[in-house]
Amino acid sequence: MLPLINIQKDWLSIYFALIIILIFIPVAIYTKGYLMEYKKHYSIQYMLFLIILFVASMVGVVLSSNGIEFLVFWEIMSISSFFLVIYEYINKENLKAGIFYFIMTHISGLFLMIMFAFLFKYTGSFDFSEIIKYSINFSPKQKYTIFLLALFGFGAKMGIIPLHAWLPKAHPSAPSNVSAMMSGVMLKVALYGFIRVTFAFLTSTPLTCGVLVLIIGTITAIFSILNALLQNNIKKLLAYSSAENIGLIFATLGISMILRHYNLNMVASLALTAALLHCLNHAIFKSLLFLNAGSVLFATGTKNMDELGGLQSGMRFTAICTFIGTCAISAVPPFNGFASEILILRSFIEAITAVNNIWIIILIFSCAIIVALTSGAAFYATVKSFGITFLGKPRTEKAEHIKAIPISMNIGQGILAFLTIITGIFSPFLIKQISHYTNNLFNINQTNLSFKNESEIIAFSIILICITFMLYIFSKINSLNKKQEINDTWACGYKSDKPYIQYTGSGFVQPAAKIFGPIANYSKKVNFKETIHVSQMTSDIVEDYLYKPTLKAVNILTTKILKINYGKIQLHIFYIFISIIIALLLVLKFV
Amino acid sequence: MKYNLFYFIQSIVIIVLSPLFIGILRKMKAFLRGYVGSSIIQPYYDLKKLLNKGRIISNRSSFITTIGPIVILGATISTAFFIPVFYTSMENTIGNLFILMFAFGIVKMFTVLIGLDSASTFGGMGSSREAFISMMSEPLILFLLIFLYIETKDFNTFHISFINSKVVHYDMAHLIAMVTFIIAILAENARIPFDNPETHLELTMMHEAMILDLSGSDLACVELSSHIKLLVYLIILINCFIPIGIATTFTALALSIGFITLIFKLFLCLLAIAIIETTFAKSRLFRGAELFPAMISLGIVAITLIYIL
Repeated sequence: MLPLINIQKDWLSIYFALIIILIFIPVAIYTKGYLMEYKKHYSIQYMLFLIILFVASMVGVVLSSNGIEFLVFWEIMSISSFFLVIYEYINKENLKAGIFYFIMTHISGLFLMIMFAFLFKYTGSFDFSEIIKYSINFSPKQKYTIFLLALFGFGAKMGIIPLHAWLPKAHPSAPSNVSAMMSGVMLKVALYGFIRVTFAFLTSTPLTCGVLVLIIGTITAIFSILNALLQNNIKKLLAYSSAENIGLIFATLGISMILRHYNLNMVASLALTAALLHCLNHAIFKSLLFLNAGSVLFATGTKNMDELGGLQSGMRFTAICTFIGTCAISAVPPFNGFASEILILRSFIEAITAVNNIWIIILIFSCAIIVALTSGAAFYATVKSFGITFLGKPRTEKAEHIKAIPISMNIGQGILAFLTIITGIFSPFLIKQISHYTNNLFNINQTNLSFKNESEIIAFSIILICITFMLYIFSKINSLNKKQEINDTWACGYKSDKPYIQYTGSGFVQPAAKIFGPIANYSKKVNFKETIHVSQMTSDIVEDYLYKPTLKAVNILTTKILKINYGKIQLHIFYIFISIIIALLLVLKFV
Repeated sequence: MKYNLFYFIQSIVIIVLSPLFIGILRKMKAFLRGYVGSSIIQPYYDLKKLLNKGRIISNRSSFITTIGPIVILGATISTAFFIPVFYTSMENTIGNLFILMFAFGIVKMFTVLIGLDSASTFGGMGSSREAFISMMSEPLILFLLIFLYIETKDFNTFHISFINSKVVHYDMAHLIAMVTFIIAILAENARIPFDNPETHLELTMMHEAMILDLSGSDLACVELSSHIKLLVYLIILINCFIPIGIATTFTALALSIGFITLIFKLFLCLLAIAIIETTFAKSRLFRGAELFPAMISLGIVAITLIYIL
């Protein structure tokens, strides 16, 4: 093998590589059927080539053992995902979203390049094992520098606030199989990078770093989920919810970093395990939900849930898969989201009792309360997305005439739904394995001492399934000789129940919009010229108040700078000369 | 992991007796309002009547309505096996408070979806409100877990009640946490001031609106499940916060004392609910939701009290 390409063989890399491949197999099967829709207008080979390049580069990122290698694969990953986002290039909106994503992802790449340059400066090597060897000697100032660069670099790719604005644009624009890969896996690759740098390279970080990560993670979680709640576009809702889950994982990493600072390694290991387990679980259920959204789009041609409804009668299998995904994401036992949600909340609670500093306790407590509110809101949002889309009556023509779904798409969804159940019920084994590794990382000798209670998940699942089965038999026997009637829904005394008497998606979240509306810049307009028509709008406040003013300022600045551009060649040579001198001075000063 | 046969028996007792306690609650309310009221075993007759009826389902309904009521009842019955009733010990057994609280998530999930399933306005209205209230009350449940963990360093309900039954001294934080949990119980069980379980007015109802299209045995399942749910929540309240008298040794005397004190405490709780329901009116949805932030602030006070005093 070439000396440059050495494979990183430690458990962290292999764990994330496993996640990538585990998600890629069902998505690849799904892609076969899903591409039918694109055959008319777009090239199939282009998509297949880019998806394989995308997955290969992600595997490359997590398996690379060298800074340069890492950056090369990282750039391939960014560029191939950019081309996948703009796959439906005929729609101009998608191009816009794609370019936004392109810029954000390159900001991330830039920060990472600087970060690896600094690592090289401090340790004299790009090699990961060399950096880890040096890690004890980092001074606090060096740690701060590298931590902040990693935070911005990986954060821009993960979609933490305020660098999340590309996420709800790029995910809905991309084809659904691609958004499943992007949301399920690519965000995890960025998390891998962050965990690698903060936990493996820097070992323990100063307290402020942990606090910063905790606060940013919590704010990301609550902000994104409240935005998700008010969306009517299924894929946009899911994209915001991805940002929420990333925020949760991030907050848990923050807890782990804080505890690491206080040398409370047992609980720190618990928090890291929770974060890693949630990475896997979120990858599974979020790609499942994106695939389901893709099936809905394939069958009906719309992503707006207010135009859908009653899809369960036409696409039963997809409805069941989505139901499983919805249960998982809203932490209903015994599906997988529940196992990691328990661990996350538990690491928060144990952190409160472990830490001695009263301010840190109050901080963690407030964050825990917000995380609980987040999980409630996640339940609200996903129930909305499933209930409004699949249950009830079709709201428009589009939802009535459904295209049949190819078998390969159903297989893809089925595998992921199956994985959701398996990783839920058998999560104690996963927890045991992961905790074994995290304990190794934190040099703890006692094995999985703090994880004994989780085997109850299996006990609970068995009890639940037995009792439900018994009740099912009982109700079957009970209803043997009784009248079964299928009738119209009661329509308040009117003869027929029109579809518009149902709650819409916007109506369903009206109570939340009334209280949390300002967070998503929610506004309502009533038009009553001919018929009464209510339109509701939301927008991202971070984008409105941070990105747009910045862009405006840059625009003004560039028009000002344009004035020094006289068009004389001598002047330009002079500029080049000056910039070379400045660059040289900088190099001499900093290296 | 050990599972004592007696745990099983006490859980069965609570499942079987839960409609009786609901009957007692109704009797108490009738007494406070000054009328005779139905007999205390009326809930059993109601369940029997419903089970003997056929069922009518909407032509729009899906697998959610078909399996939902059964899963709801199954999940609620399972939770009854995770709590100590009048006997507890420090044996390593099932009873994780997290699993218990998330198991009620199954109930919530299915009831909310049943509301949306029949394509009626009322169902959607109830589901929307229920999801909103449960979102707001989620932090209270987490606060309960945090508080109990700080107090006992354990998540197992059996261990919590064992440890707390040995402590006689109750401090301020303990009482505050208890009050917040009572509010959470009222919210989770669709009680006044959040929801009125008695009316069928479209402006007031939440829980009743979601299950409006169920009938026959389906309705019986959901009704029985809501009875058991209230009882399980009350027993968590009693055995985690005021478990004095609960049997910790396996003797006839201790068990009978445990049983009698439990019945006495349950009566007190039901009386408190009856008094709240007869003296308060159901508040507006948003007025009710205002209670939650207030309770969370109280929770922060409680946490600070523990660490500063």
